[in-house]
Amino acid sequence: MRDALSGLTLRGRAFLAAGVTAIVCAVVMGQPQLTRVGILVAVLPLLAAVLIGRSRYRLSLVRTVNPQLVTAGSAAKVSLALTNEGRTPSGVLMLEDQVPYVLGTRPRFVLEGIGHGWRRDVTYQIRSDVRGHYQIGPMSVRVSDPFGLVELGRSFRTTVPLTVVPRTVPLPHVPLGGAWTGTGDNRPRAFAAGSAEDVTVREYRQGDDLRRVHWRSSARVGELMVRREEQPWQSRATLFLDNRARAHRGQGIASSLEAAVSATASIAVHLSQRGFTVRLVTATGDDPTTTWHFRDAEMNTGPLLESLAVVEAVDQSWLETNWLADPQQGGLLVAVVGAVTELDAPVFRRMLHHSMPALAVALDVEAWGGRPGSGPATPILTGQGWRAVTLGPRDRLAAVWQDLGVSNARAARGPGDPRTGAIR
Amino acid sequence: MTTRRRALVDSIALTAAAAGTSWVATTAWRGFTEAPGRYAWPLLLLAILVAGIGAGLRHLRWPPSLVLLVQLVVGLVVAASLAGGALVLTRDGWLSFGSAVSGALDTAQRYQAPVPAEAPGIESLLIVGGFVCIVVVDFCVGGLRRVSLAGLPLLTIYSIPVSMISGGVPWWSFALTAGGFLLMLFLQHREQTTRWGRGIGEDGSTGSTVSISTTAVRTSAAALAGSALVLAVLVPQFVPTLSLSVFGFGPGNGSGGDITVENPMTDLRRDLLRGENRPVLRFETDDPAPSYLRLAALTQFNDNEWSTGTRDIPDDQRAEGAVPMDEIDPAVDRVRYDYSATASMSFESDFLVLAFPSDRVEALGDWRYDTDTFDFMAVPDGLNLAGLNYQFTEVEPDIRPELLRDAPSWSGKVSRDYIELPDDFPTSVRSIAQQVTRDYPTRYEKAVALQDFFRETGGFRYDIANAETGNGVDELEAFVTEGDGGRVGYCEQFASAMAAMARSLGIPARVAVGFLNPTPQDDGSWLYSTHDFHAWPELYFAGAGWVRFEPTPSDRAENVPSYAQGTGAFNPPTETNSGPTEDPATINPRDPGRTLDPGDLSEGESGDGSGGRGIWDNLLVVLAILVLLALLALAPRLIRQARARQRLDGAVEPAWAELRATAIDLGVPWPESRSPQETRDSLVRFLGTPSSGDGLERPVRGERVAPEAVEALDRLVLTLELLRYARPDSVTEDTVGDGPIDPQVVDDTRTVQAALYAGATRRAQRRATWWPVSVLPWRRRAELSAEAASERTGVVDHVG
Repeated sequence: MRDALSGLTLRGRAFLAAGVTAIVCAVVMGQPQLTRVGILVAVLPLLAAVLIGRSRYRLSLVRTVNPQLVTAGSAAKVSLALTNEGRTPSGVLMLEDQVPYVLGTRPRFVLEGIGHGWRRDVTYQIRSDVRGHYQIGPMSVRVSDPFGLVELGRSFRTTVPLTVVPRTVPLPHVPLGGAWTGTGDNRPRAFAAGSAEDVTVREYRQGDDLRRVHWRSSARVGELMVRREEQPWQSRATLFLDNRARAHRGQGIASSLEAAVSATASIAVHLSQRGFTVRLVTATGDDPTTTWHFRDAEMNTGPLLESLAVVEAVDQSWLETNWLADPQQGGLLVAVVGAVTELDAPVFRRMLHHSMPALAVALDVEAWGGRPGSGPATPILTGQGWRAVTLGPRDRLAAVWQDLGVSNARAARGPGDPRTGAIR
Repeated sequence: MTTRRRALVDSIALTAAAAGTSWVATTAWRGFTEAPGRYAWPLLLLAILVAGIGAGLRHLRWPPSLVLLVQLVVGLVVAASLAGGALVLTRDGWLSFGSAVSGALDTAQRYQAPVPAEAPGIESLLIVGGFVCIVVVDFCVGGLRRVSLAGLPLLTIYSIPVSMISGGVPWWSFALTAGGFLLMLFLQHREQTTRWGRGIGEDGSTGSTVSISTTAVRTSAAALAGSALVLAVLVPQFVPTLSLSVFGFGPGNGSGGDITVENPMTDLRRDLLRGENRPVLRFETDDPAPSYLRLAALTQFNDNEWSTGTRDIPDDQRAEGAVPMDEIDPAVDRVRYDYSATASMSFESDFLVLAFPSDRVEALGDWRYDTDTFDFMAVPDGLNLAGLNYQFTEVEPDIRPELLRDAPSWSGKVSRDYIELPDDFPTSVRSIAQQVTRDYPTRYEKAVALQDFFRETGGFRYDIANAETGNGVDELEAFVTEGDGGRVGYCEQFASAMAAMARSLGIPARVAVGFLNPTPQDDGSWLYSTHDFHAWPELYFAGAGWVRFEPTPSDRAENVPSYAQGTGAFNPPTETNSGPTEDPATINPRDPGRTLDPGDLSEGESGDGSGGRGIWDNLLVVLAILVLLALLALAPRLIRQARARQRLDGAVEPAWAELRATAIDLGVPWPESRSPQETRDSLVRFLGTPSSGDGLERPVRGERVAPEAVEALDRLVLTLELLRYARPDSVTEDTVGDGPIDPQVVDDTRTVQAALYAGATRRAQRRATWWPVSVLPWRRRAELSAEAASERTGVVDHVG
């Protein structure tokens, strides 16, 4: 009741004040007929407050978002299952889901006259062009009386996360160099690199050659076991994204950082699909949550994209290199870089030292900034021995990737061509 | 149904409700005329017209101001045509409208509501006024979309008859209007919620635009509106109204104004001196011996004559029944006689002939009285007493000489105008008056002495034939002084001379004109004729009111009133008026407490002191109320301080309670039923530095800014935890009551309190100092019930 009274709207308060004034004036001046008006106007908000304060509804909400991971620009569906577990509320219930504004307009629903056990499933769509991690909810509930005199606000507490990951583009198969190229199979096998065991077994699956059945193990386990010829060895790739603020130009969704993130995401997906175990490294170093993922490609890309979704520009001048000390370091290194100064050159040289081969996609960041500048970092990187291509604002990543493959193949044949990859 | 069509339906419904409500509101004006249909049906037509134009043009998305203009122009033409009876665009129509309006204005001034159907109607005024109100309501609702504002024009419609028609507005008219207003509110709010979001109510039409207003909401709206209406109609009957005259408003001061009437003394003179004896008034009564009936009182004495002066006659003081009578002490016995009188056709008097005092007067027509003289005057031109039959009830108080002799000062009860004398009032007359009354101490005895002077001791002679007419100052001096032509006169001179001399002695006095000694008729009725005209003085005595004296010698007036007989004045008061049998009907309920104050009997007091006493009393009451309010306002603070002193005695539990109270006072959240440590963690976020100056708008607060307070709080928490949770034998100190007495606890509590204050905003500090909420007994219960309520009602969520 007390909070119902404090929930009087402007109209309710005005009515109450006007009513009391009218009653006092009517009593003082001896006009009993005016008392009617005063009482009507003063009593109405009080009765409404009683009505709203006494309503014992109990609304429950189950919210699901499908999918919880969406690519920027595509839609996700939010399903709400609303149930009234209490009595019929005497007022009008106005529900508003607190959706971040980049995800679209906030969905609003009006509930009136819902009885006990009332249940309704409502869906609405959200979409965002901006990658990131969003919380959907909590749902706020306002209860209002039929005359708009009292309004009580309540709120659900739970929220549901939604991750909007960067847009990716399919990349063509290009030779990436090293031991991983040339088989034509997208599942690299690296027997030569050594194995944990000589023979491992796994359960028989339909389609396995009977000649591969490992009878000794089968006898011990009681089920058909087959020799495992696919090796648990995995090819590793490290994706380096330079997300220093000074290396990028532009603001918001049109900035070069977004293009770099998008390119990184595309490469990550591409490499994962090709069987690489991919880890992501940024200017702040190795994120412990995005370390090597020994999982299937589909399982692997998810966390990668999630961490890419929340990559922000960092305000630091140096590149963290502690990840280079990782003993497991090795394998393919793909760098997506913005502006690179001469100061950064030693770092890139060290990276190259640890990883062979090392590929780089250098963004022509000045083109995003809208002014001519020092040009892309490609010459510096190629000068350090990287194989690098330039990505401009209007270039298609697939074509640039193709060029990288070509330059890679060429590099595999012989020493690097200084002009390689200078594609604009 | 498309959204657009639905919006149209909504808007039409709202517009129709607005027009209907404003039309229903004009039914409050039924009381103005006996033919309400003459204005109601044209107004209904106008309401439909206004609503139609409004809904149509708004649907076409015309701007509201333009819609208003079209409504006003078209509506005014139609309204004027309906009022005038002809199309107003033609010259004849315009003229007839003008004449209708002027006729209505004339009627409104001449007739009392309800205006009879035969009179030229006031419909034209009602139609035009009602139309304007209808348009304003439509503009507020449809144009501005502010239904609440539409309440103001509706209130205007309602309140006009409230103050002007005696019966007021019938309850059903009010209920219908209020119901319409609430319907508009409901419709508008429904429209707003419909626009606000998707309706997913019980009708199962998810996402559709079908009306979301379901039966449940309609039911609760109807219940809400219905109970408010019932309360509004019923409750006012139990609300007393004070009828105070604040700022000059209130009853007794309505329109009516001052009316100067013809001096009835001229009638008296003409009829007594020259006229033949014509019958004037025939009446029947149960009074066995009727004597005096009064026509009017002359209150003003200037150089030339006694006159009626100006009267203040509000229109609610009519000859329609009971007449207030509160000047006579309620303890005085009284006898009541009913009169039914018929005036002759030739008696064109502006005053009713009545007994004074009367407590009931019923006469047809607009006769009004003023509360000074209780003369009943004809207000409209052409209304007079001729041929009128009317009834009244005389009240004959049993006034005893003791009452008059012990009468307190009159000041403050009647106007000082009643002792006003002209500036050139002759000193000879004044000295005669003083000389005659020199031996008598009280006002009453002086008055009796004056009367006896005229009747017996002064050698006056009643001679109507040889008397000088007139009652001015010069005539007065000539009449009173001895000599040639002196001390000869008739009732006019006797009455005015005694009244003037009483005034010169400081006794409020006026001259009454009326009739004396009717002639009994064969059929048991009584008859006054023109020669029965008479004049007499009335003198004011507090507690007895205006009291009649009879200075005219016994040639004309045989008897003097019993209380004014000379012998009675000198008798000691043998009996008092204790235990009189009071007639409840005659006791005025508005003033039951006015009693005689025998102690207040000093002669010649200025009167200002007594008059000012009322003001002082009021001031005292106001002062007492103010003191009471101040005490009420200060009470929480005093209680809080007392409790703080009581708690800070060194024990840690009371200190902890004190800390909690401080937090609640300051609005700092205090987690209930948590461990001291948790409370401490919650509290440190609100600590501020006491030295950083009091009352910043946004004080810095937190654990870092007040290290000392944090230390103090930690010590307190430790002590409290030891007390609460440690094994009893591990605390070595002597534990008494709530814990060991430790002066450190008090200091720590003070430190933390100061830090809490420093961390609060200026507003919170003020509130905590002047209105500490922790003393409120329901404070704690409210917290608990809030938690409980959130469990009972509200929202539950499940993550899916």
